[in-house]
Amino acid sequence: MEKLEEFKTKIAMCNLCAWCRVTCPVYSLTRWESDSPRGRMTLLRGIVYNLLEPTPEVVEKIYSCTSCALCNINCDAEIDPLDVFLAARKAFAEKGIGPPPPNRKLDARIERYKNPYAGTQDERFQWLDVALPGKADNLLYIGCVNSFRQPETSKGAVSILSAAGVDFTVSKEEICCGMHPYWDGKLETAKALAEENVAMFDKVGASTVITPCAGCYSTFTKAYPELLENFGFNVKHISEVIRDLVKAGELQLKDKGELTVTYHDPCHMGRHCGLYDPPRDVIKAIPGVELVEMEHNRDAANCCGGGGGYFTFKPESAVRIAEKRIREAEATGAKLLVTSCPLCRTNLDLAAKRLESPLKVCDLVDLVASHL
Amino acid sequence: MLSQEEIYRFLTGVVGEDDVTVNAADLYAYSMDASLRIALPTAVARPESREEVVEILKWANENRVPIVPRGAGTSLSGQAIPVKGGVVLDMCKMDRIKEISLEDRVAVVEPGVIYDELNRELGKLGYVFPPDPGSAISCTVGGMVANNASGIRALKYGATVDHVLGLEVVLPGGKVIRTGGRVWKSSSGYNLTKLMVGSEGSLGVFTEIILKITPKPRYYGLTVPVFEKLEQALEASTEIIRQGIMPSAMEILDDLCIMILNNVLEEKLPTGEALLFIENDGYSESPVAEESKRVKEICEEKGAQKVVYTTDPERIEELMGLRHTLYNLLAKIRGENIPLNNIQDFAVPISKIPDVVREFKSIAQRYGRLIVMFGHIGDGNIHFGTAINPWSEEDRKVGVKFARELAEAVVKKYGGTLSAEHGLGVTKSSLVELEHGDTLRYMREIKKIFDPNGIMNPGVMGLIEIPEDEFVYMPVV
Repeated sequence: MEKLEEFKTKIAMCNLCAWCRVTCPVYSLTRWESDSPRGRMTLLRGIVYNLLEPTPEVVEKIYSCTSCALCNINCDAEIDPLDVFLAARKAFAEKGIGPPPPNRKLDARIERYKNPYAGTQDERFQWLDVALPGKADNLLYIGCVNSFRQPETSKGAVSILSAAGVDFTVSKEEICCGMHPYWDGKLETAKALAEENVAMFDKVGASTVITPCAGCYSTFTKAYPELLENFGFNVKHISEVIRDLVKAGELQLKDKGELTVTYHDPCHMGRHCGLYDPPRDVIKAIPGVELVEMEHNRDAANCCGGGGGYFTFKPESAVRIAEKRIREAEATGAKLLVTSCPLCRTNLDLAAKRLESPLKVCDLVDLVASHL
Repeated sequence: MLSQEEIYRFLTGVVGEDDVTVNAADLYAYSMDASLRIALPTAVARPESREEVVEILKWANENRVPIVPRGAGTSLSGQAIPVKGGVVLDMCKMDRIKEISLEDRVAVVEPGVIYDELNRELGKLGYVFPPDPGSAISCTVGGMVANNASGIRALKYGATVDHVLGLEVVLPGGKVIRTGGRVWKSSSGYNLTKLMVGSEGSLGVFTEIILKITPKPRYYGLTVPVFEKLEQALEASTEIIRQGIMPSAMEILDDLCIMILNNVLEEKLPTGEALLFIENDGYSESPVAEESKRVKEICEEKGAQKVVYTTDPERIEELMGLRHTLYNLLAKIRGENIPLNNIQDFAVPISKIPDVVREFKSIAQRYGRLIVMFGHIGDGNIHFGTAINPWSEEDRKVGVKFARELAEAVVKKYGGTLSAEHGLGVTKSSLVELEHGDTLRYMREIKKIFDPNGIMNPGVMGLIEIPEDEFVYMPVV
């Protein structure tokens, strides 16, 4: 438990003021103290002071978290509870007492197949119907969810970069970025995936990696520098690239009629990486499209419930959290809910369908591609 | 007492399986509150209605099962610590705002409503429930009533007790009583509403609360002077009120607090023995600006070294945010130690503040401890902050002695009180007799009338005897 021991002072510093509890998506759903960041800090306090055994029921609570980082934003004592929870997950995984069984199963599948869907590399790239060069300065890294579940978005990303004349390619050696095992605390698994991906980046000769996935983006920018000694690649979310292309006049977007949209900030892109403006700038640059904000946006944006392995661990709860976000989006009067993360999109889409919401959910890439 | 299994079986029959837990992780999460003291409950239940609370209290009374009502668990004195085990009643599911009447100027709410949420709703109508405790973001109205909570605006708007018109309370045995009502004035007999406010869950469980609501001020001014001497700060604050200006907040921070703030401020404050945050509010722009300007002049006349003055709402929010965040900034200093909660919330006659601060700093020096002081100079409520290492027997012993010496001085020498707004909880239980002496007997007799079997929140307010070291300093499970 050394990884947790390092955070002992931070854990002890928590005043249990409960400011973090108010916005926590999991607590807001279950309303059990143990499902709140404060409750988790209490449990970890018990563990680091040897007053509480990390039994499966205790460990489970540390994984009942979407990694949305709202607790970090609301922690006035600047303890950053989410950093503590991640450290605890790493310690539990190292000791073999975490993650919980559903997550463990998925991590094992990722380890074996290099993706969470047990698909082959051919299946991963079924969507790719254009020839791209073997080497390029920019590598378009699609990510597992888009590759296997959102072929239109994957195609859209290729279309956008092609339309702008960007020197890029896609590598058929792309594998899972490792986000799921990383957030489960399984660093060895995540590291092995990271090494393989970086070898692939090298092979392509790319200096910049462009991804349409918020999760992959945060894994490359936050986790890889921790997992690998020398990670020297420039990583961009596709929204940054599109914004720059539009600004430079290299990408023309057409007016396809008036449309009101709202934007959901993926936690791993917003609070984790500070990317709030690029997707908004892109939306605003599309002729005829109006952006209306939800009540909670940017660093205060509510979570969709899908992150941090929570969608694997508690899928039903994850969708119920997303339902609240759908209601918030509906209140804006928008016709379309746009996001930049395929997992958020999947979860929000499930929720919208379950609620029979008139709101359609799509990726930013889809929105841009439909205005080329 | 009944076994955990028997308790669980009964509770599930009342509130349903989804709202009872005996899961070890859940129980541990409910073993603490913001006092950082610890004791495990036997079970936790979340009632959704008065009827469920009635059933539980009837059963608990018959079976002598301790009941600990819990709002958001933000109590700093340990009002939600189940020191005798039993059932924690998490009131989070009774969180409806039942009615807001602008004609009667009342809000009728259930106890689990979050303070800030209530004020968001009231704010839409131009009203506010003003006590404004430091935990406003997360605390519940029920917890505020149980604790008679208040905060920086108590000077002008009073504490929670000044805003509660009526209560519905379920007593041990399941009897439901109503105190007060929705009338703003009453001289009808004993004021049981005021008795219930601040009773820390020791008499019954609130299921409905009728609150006064107040028109929400629209304009603010803030003056932040720094004084070389504490006495100058006191003179300035006295003069402000003497001139007929009633600030909505008048806060004091000592030299150490200034140092802590300077660590996070880009524009550093000058050093001095006292820094004040003086907030004026009102419903028209120019009177607020005029009053604030006069406050600034008075501070300068009384020798303030530097006076920051603003009516810009964003700047006010930024500066007042510093005051609000101070408690959490102090956490960085205490590290693994825990706050000595029983010296945290004294109030003394306003004129005595400089003497008390000087004497306590000197006592602290004798004990080799560092203490910081911040609080509400306008109403004499001063918070002293220091921390002890709960794992060191020696430090705990020193903590007991140090706290007792300060508490004795506050109540005997200065005529003050142990608690102005945090309540007594379990952490001040062993000191209560110092303040209340023989009258503690009457408090205990009152408790017996409502709770003859002593099931309600046992351990708080010195109503039963608790060893000085137990739960007060030592984390116990």
